[in-house]
Amino acid sequence: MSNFEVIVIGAGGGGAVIAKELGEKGLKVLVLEAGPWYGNKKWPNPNSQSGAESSSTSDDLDVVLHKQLLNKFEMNMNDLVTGRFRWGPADRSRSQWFRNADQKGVIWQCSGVGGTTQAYTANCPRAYPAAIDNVWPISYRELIPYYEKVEETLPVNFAATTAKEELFYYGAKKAGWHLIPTLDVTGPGYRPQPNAILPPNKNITNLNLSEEQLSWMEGCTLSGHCINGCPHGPSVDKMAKRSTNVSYVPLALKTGNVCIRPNAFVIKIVTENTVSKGLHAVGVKIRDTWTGEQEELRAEIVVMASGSIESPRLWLNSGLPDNQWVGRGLVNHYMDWVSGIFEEKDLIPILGTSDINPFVGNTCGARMDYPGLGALQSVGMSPGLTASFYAVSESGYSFLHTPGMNDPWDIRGRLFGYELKETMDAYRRTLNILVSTDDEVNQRNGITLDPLIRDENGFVPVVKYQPTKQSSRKRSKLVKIAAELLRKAGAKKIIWTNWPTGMMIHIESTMRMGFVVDQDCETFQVKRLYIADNSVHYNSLGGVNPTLTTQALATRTAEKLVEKYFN
Amino acid sequence: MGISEGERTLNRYIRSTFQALVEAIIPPHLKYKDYLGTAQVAGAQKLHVYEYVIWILDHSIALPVKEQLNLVNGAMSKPTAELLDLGAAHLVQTGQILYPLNVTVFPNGGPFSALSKVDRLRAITLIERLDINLENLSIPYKNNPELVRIMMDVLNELPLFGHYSEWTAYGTTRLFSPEFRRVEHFPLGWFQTGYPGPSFGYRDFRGFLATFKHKKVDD
Repeated sequence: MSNFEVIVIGAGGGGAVIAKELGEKGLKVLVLEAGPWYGNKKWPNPNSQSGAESSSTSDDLDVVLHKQLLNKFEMNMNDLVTGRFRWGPADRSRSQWFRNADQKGVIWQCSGVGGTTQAYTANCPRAYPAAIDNVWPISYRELIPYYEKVEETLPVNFAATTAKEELFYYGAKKAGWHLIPTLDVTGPGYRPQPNAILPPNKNITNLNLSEEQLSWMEGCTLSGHCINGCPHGPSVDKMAKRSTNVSYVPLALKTGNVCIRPNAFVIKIVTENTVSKGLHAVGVKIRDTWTGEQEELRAEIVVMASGSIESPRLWLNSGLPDNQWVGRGLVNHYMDWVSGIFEEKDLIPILGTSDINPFVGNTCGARMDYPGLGALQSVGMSPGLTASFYAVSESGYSFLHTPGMNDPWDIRGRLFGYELKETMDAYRRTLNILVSTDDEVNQRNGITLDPLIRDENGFVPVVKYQPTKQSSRKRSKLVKIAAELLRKAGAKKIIWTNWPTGMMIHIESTMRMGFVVDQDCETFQVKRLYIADNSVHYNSLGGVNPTLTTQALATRTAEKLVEKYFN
Repeated sequence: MGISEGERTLNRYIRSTFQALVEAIIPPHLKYKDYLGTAQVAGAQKLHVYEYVIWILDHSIALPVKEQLNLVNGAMSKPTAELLDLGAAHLVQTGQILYPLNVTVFPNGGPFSALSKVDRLRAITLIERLDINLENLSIPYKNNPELVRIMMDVLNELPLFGHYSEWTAYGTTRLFSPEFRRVEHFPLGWFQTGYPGPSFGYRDFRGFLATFKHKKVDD
């Protein structure tokens, strides 16, 4: 394994994209991924045997293996400690990788080829123009062609409607909001989710084809397994949910220039300081997660795409130059969770059915955008995940909070006992809304190294986040809008869980553009070191899901990198 | 090689404590079933969900990190059970319990498992509000308020995920390493919620509210 021009660290939402783009431009690229690779013949038992070293052809992708490993069971796939999509080594007999969280919550990131997009719900909204223009070092207009390219490649479409989206739209409309069927959102309104999920096969309602037959055809089957890892499609590169392991990775392999090596944790960026080049990256030091063996690999350019926690951690563990913004400024969309429980008789006139069935359809098919405040999204998941989201609360148990006359909710706080059972008995008649706040950057939030505790990959990261007052105010407003939407749709009971501060699903801005990287995403202090993950975002994009913007930037970064160093 | 009497006692103590925990969070209940009358719905204790909680607590941190945290026996379940007991003891000592103690339900447990169900949740609330002396806790909770607060959410989240996911259906394989677990029957938590389980697809397609015009299409 030698003669690579670029090393990319991480095969997730950003890394897979930049690898494909660079490969298409003729560069030899090595992608290093800390976790396993599901659905590749060279790793038939990825969680119990080390398998081969690397793969560089799409002929290795195996649809049967992919379907066998992504078996749609919520604990097997999504348990944060032992699930296939956890943040940990491929070997599932070992513990996950340790992180020190400084606040209540959950850090939801995955290792493996495809990274966190393996479990993401494929939401692909563009940033709000108002969050970019005159704020970021680059303009919204500069991003548009890259958004378009990613939207076409994944591809992105507006979500199909099933019952839960229909109910969401009904409530939004009754609450006085307008439909905004647009990609560039400048004012509040509701719309179908722009997402990287293939539209349903046109035979979806053809009863002559069984659901199982449909699951082998191209198109979403509305099976609701976005988070559990969608295994539906005729081949690995045609899976309905476009995680990067099924979208950009096969395209990268097809260039013939990209090699992907899973089970390789990068523990150090190797640099040299010369008169002509200054301080610059020359390679990386990796650790094989199965054998523990360390190895140094060299290339002309190194791209960090290891995520908003690991990229700054790697910078700090590598002893790269001090920068007051490395790891700092973490935003997380200060999320919240509001649920509405409906009665059969109220649902029938709206939906024609007595149940919402949250497990059917795209997990997050409907959204409401409110530039200046953030966004709301419908969410329907399997019951274990749904229940666990009722358990995390800043308010403690619900019995501590009797609702006041003017409170828009009936229950506030963590569910337990009879109340929990009653809520879970009504699971099929529940509509959940995820609140995603236009979160403000604060330098006190972010990633530092634990000074004492280290694991096999270096000192462990400490993750610290407290929302600003402004973010808290915005979240409160969004919670009220969500409750009103549910009430207008006919919800009989509204539960406000009041999530704690550390629900980390959209981690961004820990290596900000203009502070750590320049506008082409090359780091200011170490030449030939680029970043292609959420961490380069200047802010929280106004509250929208970050993946599409990361992918647009990664596409742009590939172009800029080639212009600067390979022309 | 057997388990020593001391270990046996410790295991019984840990098991009782987490049995008491999951029973308070997801107790059995009666469900009204139309003309069929009412039916008893199993709670988390009957479904062995406490074993999941203990398993995760003891497997969530890798060994070298455990050593640096000075987790002597390498297990998180013991200090966590003690943390719950400290909260319970404080609730009792400050005269805040609503119902009398009962040591017969979980005879091997400590003060936490002797509390009534609602008092167990109130003990957790007390711990969550850090109304306990953090100096008296064992490692890793000693003087670690963030971890104490995080764990109070975790101790609720784990029973809920265990109970309503497929974990209960792993049956005889439930305490195996995840690669060796097998679903032996339909999970009871899924049955309770009406979730049909993993699916190949659903027919509930209701059209599109808007369509996406790709640049290429426009051109």
